Amino acid sequence: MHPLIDIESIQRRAVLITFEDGLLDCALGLSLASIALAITLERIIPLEDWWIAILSLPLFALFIVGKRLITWPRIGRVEFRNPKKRSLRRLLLFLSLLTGLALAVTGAILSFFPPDWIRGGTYLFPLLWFVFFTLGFAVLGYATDVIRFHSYGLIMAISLPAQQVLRYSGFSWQFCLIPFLAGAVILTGAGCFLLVRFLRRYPVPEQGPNHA
Amino acid sequence: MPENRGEMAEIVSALDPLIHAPARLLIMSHLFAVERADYTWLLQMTRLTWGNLASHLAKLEQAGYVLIEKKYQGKKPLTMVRLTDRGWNAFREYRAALEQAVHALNG
Repeated sequence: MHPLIDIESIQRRAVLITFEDGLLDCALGLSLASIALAITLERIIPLEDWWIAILSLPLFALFIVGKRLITWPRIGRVEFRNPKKRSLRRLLLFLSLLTGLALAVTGAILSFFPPDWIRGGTYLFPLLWFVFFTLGFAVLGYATDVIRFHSYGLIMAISLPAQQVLRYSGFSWQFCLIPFLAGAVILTGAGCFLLVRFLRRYPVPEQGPNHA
Repeated sequence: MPENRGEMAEIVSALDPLIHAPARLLIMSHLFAVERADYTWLLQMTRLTWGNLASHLAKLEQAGYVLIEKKYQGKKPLTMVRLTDRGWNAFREYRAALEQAVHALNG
């Protein structure tokens, strides 16, 4: 087939280009940093665990604002055809079900088993965390052809288990933040690099977006 | 290989000249791959200039191959382009004709 009309290649490129801005990478890195921040704040102010969710909310808002202000004016907007939409919807559905399952299992374990059983080192929650992020990002990487998502999945996946291992090995709470902070530095650093490259590669078109 | 010039001419003449121009082929192939896209996306993907893109889109719109939808998102204008059913079918026929031509040339 004529290379100009390799439709699958065009669709693949259209999906890949949306992840070239590095915004998702930054958001993931900052979410790891927010977990480290929540653990630190917990030492200073008595906080519930849901504070982690509160601290993460601005990141998603930043992500959406970034897309509107940085990405869309540079590379425009596209809506995919039904087959692509259907596969993206299936992917979102799978990730949502996976999240729901992980939360349900965690909730069930916390409800039916005494807290000591969890603190006693069964590592079930970190294991669930590991499986969730490894599987979720593997599926995301496979569906979008973005290879670095597989690495990101591993970085996110090992952060909590590594923190738990360090904690139960007797290290200080500050030292235990290293897995989250290291992951945050890697992901945010990669995101910033991609963002700078994206800004250079895709300047805002001269006549402005949607000029007709 | 086609046995005579006439056969080859027939195969090549089946290629829609409106789509066959390189710039319009780029535009049509990208629109064929998606539901709809705005000017900026087409500009970035095809690497045409604004003027070139607008000019070719106007020709395609005149032929009824594309539909240019102008609307507003808040106060910002948003222009989305998509293939019409006629454009979709024309491109499918073009792809089939091109494949036949390439196959004939390869023997």
